[in-house]
Amino acid sequence: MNDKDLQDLWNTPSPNDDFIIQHEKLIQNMKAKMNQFDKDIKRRNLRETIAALIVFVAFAVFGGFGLYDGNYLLGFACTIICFGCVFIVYKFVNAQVTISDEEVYTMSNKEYLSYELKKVNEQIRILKSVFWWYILPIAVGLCLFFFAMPYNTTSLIIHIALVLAVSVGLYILNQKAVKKDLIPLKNDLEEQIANLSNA
Amino acid sequence: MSQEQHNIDEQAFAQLIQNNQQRIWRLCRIYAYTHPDQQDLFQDICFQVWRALANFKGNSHINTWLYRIALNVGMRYQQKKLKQKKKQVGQAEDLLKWEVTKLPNADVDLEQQERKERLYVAIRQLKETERAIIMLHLEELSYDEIASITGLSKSNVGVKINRIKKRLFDLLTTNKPLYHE
Repeated sequence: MNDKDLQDLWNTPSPNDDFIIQHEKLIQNMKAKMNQFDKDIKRRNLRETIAALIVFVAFAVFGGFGLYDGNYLLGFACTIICFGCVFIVYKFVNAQVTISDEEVYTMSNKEYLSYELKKVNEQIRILKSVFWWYILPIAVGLCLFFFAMPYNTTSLIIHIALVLAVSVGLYILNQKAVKKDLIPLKNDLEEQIANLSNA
Repeated sequence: MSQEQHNIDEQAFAQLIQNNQQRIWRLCRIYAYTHPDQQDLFQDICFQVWRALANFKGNSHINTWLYRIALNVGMRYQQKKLKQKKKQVGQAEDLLKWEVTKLPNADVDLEQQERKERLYVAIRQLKETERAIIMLHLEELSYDEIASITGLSKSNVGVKINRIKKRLFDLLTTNKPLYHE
């Protein structure tokens, strides 16, 4: 089999490749998908903002009451949590992709794979440092918050143990995601880029 | 880009897809393994072409531009499916069923069909980037066009194609049973 045979075989009509497109329906479908796509993005951004806002407002109010009552530890704890929320939102926004899909998909394959690798590396960096920017500020804030509350010792220990358990759980889940999903993906992308680099 | 801002020439889009539907479909058959997945990928490619068409500036030939999108979407689809398989999440959606209608084809050379199916299966055994390169070669694109789509240098394209063809011929002539859909 030579090159020409291969190309002829590739271009052989086949019933498996034989179909018609109903263009009107296709266009309707594209419009519907586009609308859904816009809605999904707006909804996601709104959901993230509202969640951050609720936590922020709730702890700001708590902190305000605490300071009003002279409970400065409570005020301090709530301030840490509020700053933590703002920092988390900032990190998420900062990590968001700045290049639109329209531009990404029209890159050459090599540029596209390099871009995907950059994104994966960024995700790995963010998840590996999740303790510092996500878990630590909120956990410290919450522990101080419970210290400042009028709990008895048993109740305080239970609350703090719960915060610590959730923090450890979150950390382990994130590191597991890095190891199980992102590192293999990174290796795969690096291999593909290498394939497009070396003759 | 919102729907209101996204004013594209629907007729031009329909024409572009119609002119290239076989090429896109062949690519779908390489990057997706089941019929529903292939339809799903076909729709994904159409969607990304639809989104990008308003920004097409004519710096490259429209087919080269289309191939870039189709191959990048195909590669991403593979990664997405691999991830889904790992997590055992859901099944491929059968979204395009109403768009693709099989036509009866009376004059079918069965032996040739089987050889073609084996070719698809053999290409799927190649690495992802190798599949892209050999597919573009089989679609009779020039080395310049392949270089522009993949990001390889022109001289590298030639070397790569020769290597991949050798591996492909080995796969096609081997007696080992190949993976089928």
